Amino acid sequence: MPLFKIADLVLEISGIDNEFFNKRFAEYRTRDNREPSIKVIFADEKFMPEGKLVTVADGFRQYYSGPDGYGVFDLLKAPDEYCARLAFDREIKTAKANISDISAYGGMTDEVRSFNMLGELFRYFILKHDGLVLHSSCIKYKNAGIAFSAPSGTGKSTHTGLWKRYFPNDVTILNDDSPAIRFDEFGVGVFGTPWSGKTDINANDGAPLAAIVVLEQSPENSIDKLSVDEALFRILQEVTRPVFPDFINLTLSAVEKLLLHTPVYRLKCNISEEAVLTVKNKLEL
Amino acid sequence: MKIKNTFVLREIAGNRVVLPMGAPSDAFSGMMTLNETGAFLWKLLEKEISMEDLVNAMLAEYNVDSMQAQKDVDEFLDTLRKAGVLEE
Repeated sequence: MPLFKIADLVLEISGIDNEFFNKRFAEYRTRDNREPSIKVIFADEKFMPEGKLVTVADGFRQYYSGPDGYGVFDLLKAPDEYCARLAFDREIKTAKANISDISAYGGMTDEVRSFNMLGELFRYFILKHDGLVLHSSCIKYKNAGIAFSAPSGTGKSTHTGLWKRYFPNDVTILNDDSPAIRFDEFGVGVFGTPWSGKTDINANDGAPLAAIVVLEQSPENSIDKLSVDEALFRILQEVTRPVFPDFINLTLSAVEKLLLHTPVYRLKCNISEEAVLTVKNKLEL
Repeated sequence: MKIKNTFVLREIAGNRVVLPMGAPSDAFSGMMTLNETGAFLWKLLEKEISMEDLVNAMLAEYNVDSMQAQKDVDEFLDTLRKAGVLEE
């Protein structure tokens, strides 16, 4: 069975074999012989939602919750014809998915939709494993993870691109959009995942998370440490709010843990080497 | 009046934070923090309650006179109205 290791968790994902998936997941293949934390099967079976409808997002994506688990279903036509189906048990140890070919309707290809659906599953899955996904562009500099967080369009990727440019041998971009963060007895770790937004820049690597840096555009470069109170608001803006209420407490306690263990800085910056050095000097890296 | 059930109050890292739980959105946006009095009134407002009962509860809980209690309640309700949190 095809096994993958993401954020030090083993995932078995079977029944999916297409160029897009194979390319994006190639780096995450593993021979790690631990029991997989989750088994995901892409099947031909066109299963139907179970439980109660929780909400509908964007007018077509239905979320269900029932005693046996959760479901995410993309409506193709009313009332119950679905073009994407995902169901997982309450502990997220097993999941099944079914994606129909809707290329005739235009829009995203099946390959991309399957990949994105796995990404959505992963956001819930990691909450069950003492972690969360933080919207940020994250680098590993030597052995220090730094997550640069900010609303879209601020220049996260531009900034991490500068790190790579000025320190090509010491910098790995772990994930340009959605790195995974996990807590263990050693502290906070940050990891690359295959889901990195539009840029497809990610690496199957990880590092202890040294800091979160919230970016703001400014003509001058300066950096200061945020209080936990200030940081809380910044970080919550960059964390996906789970649709299923059961996962909200897990998310909030992960955010709390993150804030209590990781320093958060605010960097006012332009696009320059000085911007990079401002962070590097402050973090004493 | 009462708080809409699409908002919840949670304590995170020592902050009393109001979080919207309604329609799906990308992040925990549109939050506010409450002080101790705000959180006290918020909890009462999770169930239907009148202005008068809120003021009386303030008087029973805190060492304030009725004018001050009325003023605090007014101000808090005003904040909640502006944030679209209150159902009247």
